[in-house]
Amino acid sequence: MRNPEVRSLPVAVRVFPAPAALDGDSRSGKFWRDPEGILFLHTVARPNGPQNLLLGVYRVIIAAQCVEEGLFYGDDLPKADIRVLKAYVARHLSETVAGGVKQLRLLTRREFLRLFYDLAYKARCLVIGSNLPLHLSRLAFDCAPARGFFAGGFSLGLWSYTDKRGRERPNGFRPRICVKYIDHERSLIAFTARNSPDEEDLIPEGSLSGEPKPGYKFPGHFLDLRTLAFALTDEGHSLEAVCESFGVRRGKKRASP
Amino acid sequence: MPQKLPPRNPSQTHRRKVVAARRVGVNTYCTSCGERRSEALIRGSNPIICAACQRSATEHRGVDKHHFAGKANNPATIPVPVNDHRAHLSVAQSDWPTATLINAQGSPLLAGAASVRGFIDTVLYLIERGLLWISDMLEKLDEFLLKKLGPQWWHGTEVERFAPKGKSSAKS
Repeated sequence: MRNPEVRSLPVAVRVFPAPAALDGDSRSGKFWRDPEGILFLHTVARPNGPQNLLLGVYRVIIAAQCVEEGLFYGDDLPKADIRVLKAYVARHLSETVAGGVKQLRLLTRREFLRLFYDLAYKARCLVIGSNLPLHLSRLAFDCAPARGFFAGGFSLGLWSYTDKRGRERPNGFRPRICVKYIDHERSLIAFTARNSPDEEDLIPEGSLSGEPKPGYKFPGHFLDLRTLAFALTDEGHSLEAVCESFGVRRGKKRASP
Repeated sequence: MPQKLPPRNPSQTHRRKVVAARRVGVNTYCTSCGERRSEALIRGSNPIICAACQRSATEHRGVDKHHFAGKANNPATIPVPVNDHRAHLSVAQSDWPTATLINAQGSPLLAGAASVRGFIDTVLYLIERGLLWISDMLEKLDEFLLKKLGPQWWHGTEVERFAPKGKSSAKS
């Protein structure tokens, strides 16, 4: 059979090298242990408006089982919109396993931040989101230039308190989150230190003895799905496109205005 | 059959479990009896031992008095093994609403709620410790006797009177 048209095609080879020895010869001698808990989050802002938090959704997965899911909303959401959300959560059940919370939860931004602190910082869960820095910035109440390793990036203050004069102030007893973009697809994200950390916060990851190490800072476990998709496909994707290309059954849908 | 009631707040339960495990170290267990529940292990002991083994080493009683409804709500206590007190019943109380457990104002309604919660936790603990193993054992024994003596091994034995009536009459 003749094929008169000969075309050249680019050939790419992706290599996944296996580590030579996983049991002790690595440079640091430490391996990342998969956190048992996962916190998914996604937020939305008003279309064509400021990027303030309008609404967010979250899902808590423990030992590969969804145990809790819910919605949270921004501080300035009008009461009429909150009523709509309350009606929504009253009508819908969450898709959790038998031992999970059956009721879809509705939280304010502050309530969600308490949950975020407990899971992402205290329980050291994996925080997952697509374009995660954007969602974290929507949760933040202030932003400052980052220092040290993250110099050139942003330092986001998520937790705050109201002082005697009624002003919202950054809470020094909670960590900040530093974000530094490497490029459009990749960014570094980590918690900073906080004032008066508890003893259990000073125990390094994977510690065999459980001994607190003075000065230890837990950096957090953050996974940006956009970076993961870029690593797997070598292409930049939006969440919608990622869901489509990976055949996600119920991917992101465009909401009608 | 589920072995436990689901926690009221699974996220907070997970946080407490992870923090307790971190305090004693990764994959730690009692070098004396093999106890693996983090809450029962003594932090900083070298080698790691559990509370029950520590008590037995120091010739103390291995039984605690557990305030089943929380100390603030009811002074009544029940004796439970120290490891179960720390890793089971006190953990179950952590899942109660904080206001009920602390009952700072001494509300009689909260005290009542705590008594109900404490009774449920205690009964579940007794079911788990005292009854569940019997079901497992009976199923294994039935499997064993089926292999040894064949189907309907209970015919002509003292055990036959416990057989379900409908089934035994259909067979005979």
